[in-house]
Amino acid sequence: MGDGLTISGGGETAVATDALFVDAARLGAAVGVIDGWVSIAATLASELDAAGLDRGGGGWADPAPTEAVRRVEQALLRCGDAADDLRGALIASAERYGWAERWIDGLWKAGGGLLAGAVGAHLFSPHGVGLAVGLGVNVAARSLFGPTPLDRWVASQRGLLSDPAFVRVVRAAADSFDELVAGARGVPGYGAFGRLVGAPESASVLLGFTALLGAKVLVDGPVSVTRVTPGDGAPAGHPAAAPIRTADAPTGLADLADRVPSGEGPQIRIERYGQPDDPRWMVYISGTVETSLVAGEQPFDHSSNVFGLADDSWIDELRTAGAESGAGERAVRHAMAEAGVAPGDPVMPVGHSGGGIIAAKLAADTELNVVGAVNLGGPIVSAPMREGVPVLSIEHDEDIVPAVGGSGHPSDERLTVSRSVLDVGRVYETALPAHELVRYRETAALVDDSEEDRLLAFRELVGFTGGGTGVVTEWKAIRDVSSSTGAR
Amino acid sequence: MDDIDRFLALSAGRTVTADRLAAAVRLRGSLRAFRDEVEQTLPALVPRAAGRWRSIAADRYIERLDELQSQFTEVNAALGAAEVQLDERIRRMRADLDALDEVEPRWATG
Repeated sequence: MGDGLTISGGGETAVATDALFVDAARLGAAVGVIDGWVSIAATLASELDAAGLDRGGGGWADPAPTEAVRRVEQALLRCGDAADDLRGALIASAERYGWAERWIDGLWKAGGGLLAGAVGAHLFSPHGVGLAVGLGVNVAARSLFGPTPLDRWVASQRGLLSDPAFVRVVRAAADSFDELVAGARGVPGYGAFGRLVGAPESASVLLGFTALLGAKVLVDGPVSVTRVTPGDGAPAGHPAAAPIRTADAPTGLADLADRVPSGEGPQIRIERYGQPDDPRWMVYISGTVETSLVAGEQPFDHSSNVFGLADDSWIDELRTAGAESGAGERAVRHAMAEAGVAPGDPVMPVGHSGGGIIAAKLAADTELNVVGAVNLGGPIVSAPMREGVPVLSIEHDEDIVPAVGGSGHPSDERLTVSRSVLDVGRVYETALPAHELVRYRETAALVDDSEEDRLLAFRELVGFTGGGTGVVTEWKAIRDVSSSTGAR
Repeated sequence: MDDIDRFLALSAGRTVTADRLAAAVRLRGSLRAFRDEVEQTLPALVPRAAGRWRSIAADRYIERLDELQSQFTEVNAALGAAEVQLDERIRRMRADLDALDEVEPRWATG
């Protein structure tokens, strides 16, 4: 755990802490300043020379200010060279770090694919069948007698879920589902084949299969949104009981993260700023509320997330079975329309977890005027980006959720800020402590403190609202699960 | 300054005049302003070694930052030396000019 932010992407191949990038930028600025001083010193020396101020009696002890200023010029030149060299060394080290990260990720991906293929090849062997029977017995024993020894052992290994090495395994595994299937089907050369297929393609195929099979899992349905009446449940006189809620314009990433809805209640918050004829919108989107894969009334669930992930692949456009997009994304679009967001209005969506997936989707939509988007711990590494629309993605080192998107692809528009947030050896109460919104809020506050150029630029982008006070509306989304809709 | 010195100075182009002195004083002001700017800017110009990383590379980085700070110290010292040199030149020019002022009436009266 620490306050250090690691920054990658954004059109650069270098990966480093924000402090290193800040130092490199300061050294670059110093080189410019020193260059200016060299010019001043050279001009001064010329003027001193022209005034003949070194032409005294000619003795060895005669003052020679021109020569002295030339020595200043030389000393400044050495300083400028040294600062430039040091800046170059910092950038080179960041480049090496970035290269090493990509190389290691590549190894993990290749290894994950080969391992998945090998596991798939043994899926129907006596070992595989024995393992499946054992897991089946465990499920039966749990339903009869409660948690089994295996369950207790798995629960005791909860810390593994937040191990950065395990996060890498998840990232590799997310890209390797197809290799597992190919291995099980005895397809040769699954390693090479698998590199072309990532997590989104796997998710899309999975959705197609479940829809065709009529399974109850991963089936989505229509959604509706209702504006939550201001003051509901608030005591009389409390600010929350006012008929119209207002908020000061956000000034940084911490403000944005603080306003993302969490838990039960409205999943979408929309703020309107600017003049009536020039509205600017902030859209805050909740993370996953319901963890079930079977669609229920709560649209912010894993069914919606898998649809959101599958959308990232071109293959998904070929899928004819199942819903076209996740319920959560449709709910946000409904809420935006109800709130009055017009296609050309500047918008900035901000989302946590599954809400981050939706924020990235909105950012890529050419029919919206999204000025930038923020993802807090969502798996968006495979999400298509729209040129000129920056997406700031904050992902904690120990959070497996961003890793379920697989390795994804680099993008000039996506700037990723990562940070280690857990103490080594400490036992946490929750299963995924690094994924909690409260920790992403802490990291967002650190982003505000950073002087790194790209983070500064994004913070300035938040000022697109124009400042002032905005009107807040909150929206509750519900999935229609009636039998007539086809959702179950 | 005796007459022979004055003749040698004239022949070597080292004649002290009020204009040359004024030019020297003006350049002295420019040098002072330049030195002030450098002195005020240098402390915040480059990052300070904060020990944020713990590695051989980080140690080397801190060393190089220290080297850079040393070079800045050299710049400050060189600027100080230049100022001293120019001050001394101006002092001597003033002395020469004063001496000339004393000689001029004698030449004028023959």
